Amino acid sequence: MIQADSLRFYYHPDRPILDEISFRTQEGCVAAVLGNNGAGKSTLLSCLNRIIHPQNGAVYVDNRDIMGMKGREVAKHIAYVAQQSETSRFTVFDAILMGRKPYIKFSPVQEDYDIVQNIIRQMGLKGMALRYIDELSGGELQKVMLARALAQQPKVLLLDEPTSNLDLKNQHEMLRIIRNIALTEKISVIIVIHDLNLALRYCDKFLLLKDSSIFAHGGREVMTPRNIKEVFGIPVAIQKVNEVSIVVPYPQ
Amino acid sequence: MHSTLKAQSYQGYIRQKKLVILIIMALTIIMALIAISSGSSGLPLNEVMLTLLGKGTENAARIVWNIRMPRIVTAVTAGAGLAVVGCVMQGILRNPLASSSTLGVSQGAAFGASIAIIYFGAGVQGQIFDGVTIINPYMISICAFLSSMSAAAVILALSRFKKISPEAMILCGVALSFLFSGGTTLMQYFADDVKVAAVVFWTFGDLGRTSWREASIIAAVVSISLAYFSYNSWNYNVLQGGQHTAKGLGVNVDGLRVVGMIICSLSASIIVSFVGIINFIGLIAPHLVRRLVGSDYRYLLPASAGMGAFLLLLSDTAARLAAAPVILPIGAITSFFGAPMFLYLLFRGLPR
Repeated sequence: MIQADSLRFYYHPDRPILDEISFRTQEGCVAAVLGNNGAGKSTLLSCLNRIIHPQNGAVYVDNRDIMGMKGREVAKHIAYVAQQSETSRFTVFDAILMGRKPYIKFSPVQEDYDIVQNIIRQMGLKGMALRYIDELSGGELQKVMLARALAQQPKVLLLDEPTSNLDLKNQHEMLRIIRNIALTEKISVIIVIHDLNLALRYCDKFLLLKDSSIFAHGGREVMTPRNIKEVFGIPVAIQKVNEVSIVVPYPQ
Repeated sequence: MHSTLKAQSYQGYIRQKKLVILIIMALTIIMALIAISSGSSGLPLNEVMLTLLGKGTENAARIVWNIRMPRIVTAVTAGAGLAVVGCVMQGILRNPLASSSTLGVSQGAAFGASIAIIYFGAGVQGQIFDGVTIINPYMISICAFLSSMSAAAVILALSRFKKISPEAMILCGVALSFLFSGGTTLMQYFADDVKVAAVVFWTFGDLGRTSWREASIIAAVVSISLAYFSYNSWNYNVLQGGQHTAKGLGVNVDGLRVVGMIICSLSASIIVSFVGIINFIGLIAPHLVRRLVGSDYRYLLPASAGMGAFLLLLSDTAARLAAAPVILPIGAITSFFGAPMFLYLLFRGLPR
């Protein structure tokens, strides 16, 4: 469980990027952070695991305040996958092993190798364990980054636009994996996502950000055409096609 | 069943890297033996071996231990040190161009050495120039060291107080290099010929300047920094995934950068202040071994150290033998052979 309590972040005090952000999500839940470009979505994600320090507020994971923790401790509780992953000459195995960084004292022990081995099996990456990550496709790389985050054995998983560089099939595959992981590993997942259709389909909670603050926050019921229009500034209708809800925008 | 197979092949992959490192080390040792045996008074390899084992003639022992060995040890430690510094700088600044010669450290050292020679009348260690009186053989090293550290201090201060990006740090180093080169040129313009000759001679770089004392200082500094860097190899690994990723994994990125840069500058400054400007080793050795062992700093660091030692030994031996009895300037040799090699690597595609 992760709880944010009146987070405030700014580069300039007159223009807060985030203001009075409070919410909580449960384990096993996938929450979507939605909003226009510049609404503060990525900043919010970075504040949650202290990649950047909010000026005000607190974040609790299982009722423990992470602001007072050492970086290494935070990384044992919260894993984060950036929007853009920089690659270099590492094998998939080594890249996932890096998720064990918060636990590694001087060099990895057998337990670390076993955990990596299990995750590789679980994510179906067995065939490519020894390939170099700078030679992978976008979809493969994103999976490896997710695997690395899981190697941290976190309670909370933060994903910044995990599907933005993926093709249609990979988008759905990625989100299916994320859903399953949330349920089986009892992790609370928070994703920043632009695609409202994907969000509606795979997420159970929604956090609508507008002008640095939370506009609405809750389950499926907050995703009304009215709220979406307010947040994104474009009229929409929500329709069901074969039991799947889709958002149809009507640009003026 | 299948998973253990995979584990074995990962171990096999790691074993390959270790093998590469062992081969580089073996080549360095062979090169060192060749370097000891070659020189004006020729010593056959078997005599070198006997002498190293303490069974050689007194004359051979004198040549090996007093003349050749300090030079070899200097080449090995300085080469390893420059390579490791380049390797770490490239990692923490996330820039393949970073090395002590592209961040103003070398030019700073040259500037300091010029001040010592031109204004303080210091001579070059181990060399006596007509008309240049030696006040203190360490004067040049001290001035070179202080001046090159000042380059590092400016870069660090900027990154600390202005929070400049790694790219800006590189640009800052380039600017400082020009500043120091300009200053050196101005000083030379107004200095008399003999002193200019001494400055030019110093900047060529010379591994023969060092005695056991300097060689052991370099060895100590390089060992300590290598130990610190190895201890942090996981931090450097994680940083290769970008700084957000590294922070997300609990790494104190800013601290890692600043401390790393301080240690890099210190070791590079100490090395160049004793042996003069040696370019390209810090740039080329890490890039060469990156192709062989990948970006994993656990293996990249020892491999770079070995490769740096090997390359500097090779260059120094070539410099001594190519136009014997004249010893060619080592700095020119490393640049002359290093640059085409670097271009070749670029054409083959540089792994990041």
